[in-house]
Amino acid sequence: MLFNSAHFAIFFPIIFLLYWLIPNNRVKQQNILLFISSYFFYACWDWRFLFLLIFSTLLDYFTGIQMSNSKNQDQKKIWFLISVITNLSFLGFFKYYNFFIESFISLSTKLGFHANPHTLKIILPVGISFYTLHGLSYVIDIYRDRIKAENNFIDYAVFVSFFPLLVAGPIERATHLLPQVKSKRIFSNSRFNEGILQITIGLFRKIVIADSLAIYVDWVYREPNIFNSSSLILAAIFYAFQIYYDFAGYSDIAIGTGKLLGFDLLQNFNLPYFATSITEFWRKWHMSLSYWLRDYLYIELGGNRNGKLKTYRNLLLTMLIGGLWHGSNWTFVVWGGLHGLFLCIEKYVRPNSYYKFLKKISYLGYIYTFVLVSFAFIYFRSPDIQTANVMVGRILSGNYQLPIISDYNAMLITIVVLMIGFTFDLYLRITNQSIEYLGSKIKFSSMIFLISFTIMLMVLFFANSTNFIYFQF
Amino acid sequence: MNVKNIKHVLGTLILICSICYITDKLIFFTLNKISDNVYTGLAIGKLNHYLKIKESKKLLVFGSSRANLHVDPYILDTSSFNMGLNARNIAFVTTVIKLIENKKPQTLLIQIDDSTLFNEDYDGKDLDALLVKYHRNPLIKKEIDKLNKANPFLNFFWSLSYNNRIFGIILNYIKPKYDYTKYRGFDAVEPTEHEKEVFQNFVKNKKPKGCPDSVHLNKLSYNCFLELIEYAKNNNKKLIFFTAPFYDDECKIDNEELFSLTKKLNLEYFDFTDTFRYDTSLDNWRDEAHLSKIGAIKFTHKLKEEILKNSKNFPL
Repeated sequence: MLFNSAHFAIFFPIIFLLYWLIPNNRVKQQNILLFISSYFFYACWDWRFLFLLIFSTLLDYFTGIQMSNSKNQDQKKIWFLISVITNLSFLGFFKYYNFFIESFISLSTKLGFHANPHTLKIILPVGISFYTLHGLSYVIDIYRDRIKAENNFIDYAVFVSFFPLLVAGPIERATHLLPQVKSKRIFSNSRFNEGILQITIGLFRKIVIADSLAIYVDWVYREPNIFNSSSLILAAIFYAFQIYYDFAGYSDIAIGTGKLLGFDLLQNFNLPYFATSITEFWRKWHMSLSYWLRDYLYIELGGNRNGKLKTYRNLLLTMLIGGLWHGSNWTFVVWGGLHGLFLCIEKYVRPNSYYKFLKKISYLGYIYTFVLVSFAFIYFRSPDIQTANVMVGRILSGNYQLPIISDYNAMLITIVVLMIGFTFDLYLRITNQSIEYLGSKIKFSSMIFLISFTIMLMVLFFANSTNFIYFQF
Repeated sequence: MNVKNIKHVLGTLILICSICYITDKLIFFTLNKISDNVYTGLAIGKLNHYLKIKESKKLLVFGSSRANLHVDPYILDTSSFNMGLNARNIAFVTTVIKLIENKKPQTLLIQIDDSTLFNEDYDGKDLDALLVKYHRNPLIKKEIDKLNKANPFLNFFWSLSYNNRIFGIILNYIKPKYDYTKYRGFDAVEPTEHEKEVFQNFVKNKKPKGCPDSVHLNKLSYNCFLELIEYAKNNNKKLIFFTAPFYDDECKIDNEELFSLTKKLNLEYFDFTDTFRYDTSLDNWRDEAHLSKIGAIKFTHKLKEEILKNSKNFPL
């Protein structure tokens, strides 16, 4: 079930009504409803993978309790390792088995050997990358004594499978979400306003802006070797905006839906293209993942505590793994590696005047960041390294005539809706507002106008919907 | 949630729905006013033009871009119009033909592609080009509803029928692309240097794709054939079907199936798939499925020649 589908438009109002009609907002009953509806939501995609979700939930629930009950550190470590290794094994099998086998075959062939191991027809269970990270953060936090194990299975299962964030995040922390699951939720008008405004804007970002941009991007990426440099640059720029509006749109709907049910989910995007450096970019882009990687990987690896060289190593490793987390393709590894490299370079030059200069002239910083981010996204979007290299090669070939456009009407619509989206972001930036709280900050009449205006824009300009990009991860 | 909250939720939703409903109708009727005067462009102009002249022409050509770009109707007859539109297939063609209400003798030349007719996934999505008239033409509404191709929100948001067409309509209203009174519906293409280069690369690197062992006629396509036959019989229309040239059509099983189907249904059909096959000069082509202006003119003459061989009174 997609957020931008008619099914969700029927599903959510029913859940919303049932949820708030429970007398006295009884938490237990509300959580049972959330548990059932989240599993139903997931089963709509493929009911067979419910068993995997249940298994993963049970595993972390029981290992969490066992860790809490452990009499000594060694026993605790064993339960911790059982959970981490099992979680990573499932993720590795479903997401990376064929990738590693194929890479092994390719390497063997290059070395002159003829290896022939079997690849399997594996369907990637939607959301596995996200709920695995939920589970991992939970057991790591218990192992590090940051939280206590949850004894109520339903509460824990709601934390893992809460339907607004089940398939593509934001990646929640037990420290942040579990207390909300356990406490009484109170409906407030201001939170309702925030929620419906954010959902509407999220839908607009997805079905109007991102899907319109996708038309040109998909066309160019299908056969990049027939396009001139300007077309490829335009496609690269468009993709940088497409993925932003697609994923930020998804996150807006998830966070807004959470708000309507009385939850505050983690912010996932904070105007990332208004970042003056790659370092700042990662504080604004897919924040729930980047902070997860920082807290559970980079810091666990030693962070910046063991000298410069090890800091660079840790940064690079974190970004490489972060890249690979996105998908089983070398393109994601290269994308992560490029970001790791950019971060290392920035860390190296940070004390120098050049960096300070860049920071002062923020517009230059925006351009610098956007160029590097768009360049790295070429690898992220391409189906393979060869295609990405063709893109980069042809961009640098200097064939800078006018971009090739097949449908001028579609292009005009794309540019207009992109400008509307960007102007809105600029408004948030200038007024220093956050989209999460906009609904309660502006006047009620302004909110009604903004929602109605956005709905009419959707009616007139929505593009044929494609799946959310991050569903594939 | 207390009574105050319920009031707030209901009040907010009702307010938003009311504003959207009123705004939507204002936009819809304004766009109707504007679009009724647009006769150029693909957003609505060509359809309006067709609706205006459909009863008066002796010959009408229908089909996809492979009709639109390939057939100069003026070569076939001076009283003619090419209603070919990009990405439109048999469901669209059947509906626009049924919009002709008179019983005057007319010849309807219909381009068909075996790739669509034998595509089991074909579901008549091409009818969405007519959504723009959904609330204004009962026959179009009926045909779209029959195939369940209307967005359910169309019942509330009428201006949804103008989705993604608004700029095309307004631009053509302010500044028409061409003089529609001289337009015959034929959009000849003269390939750019870039297109020529792309096509040459395609020819150089072309690899065989492989052919299926069997093909099955799409049920919707078959029903469209039956509806067209019935319509033609009741309205004094002559139907002529043809398949336009392809640069290299590897598989012949679908051509053979189509040939036997048209024979079974007693339809006049011409298969020009291989007319310019392996044309070494490449001047006749824009890409593997579309002829250049030079190729289209040659093809129309060939089409006329073949039709006249079979039929003395062409057009009716």
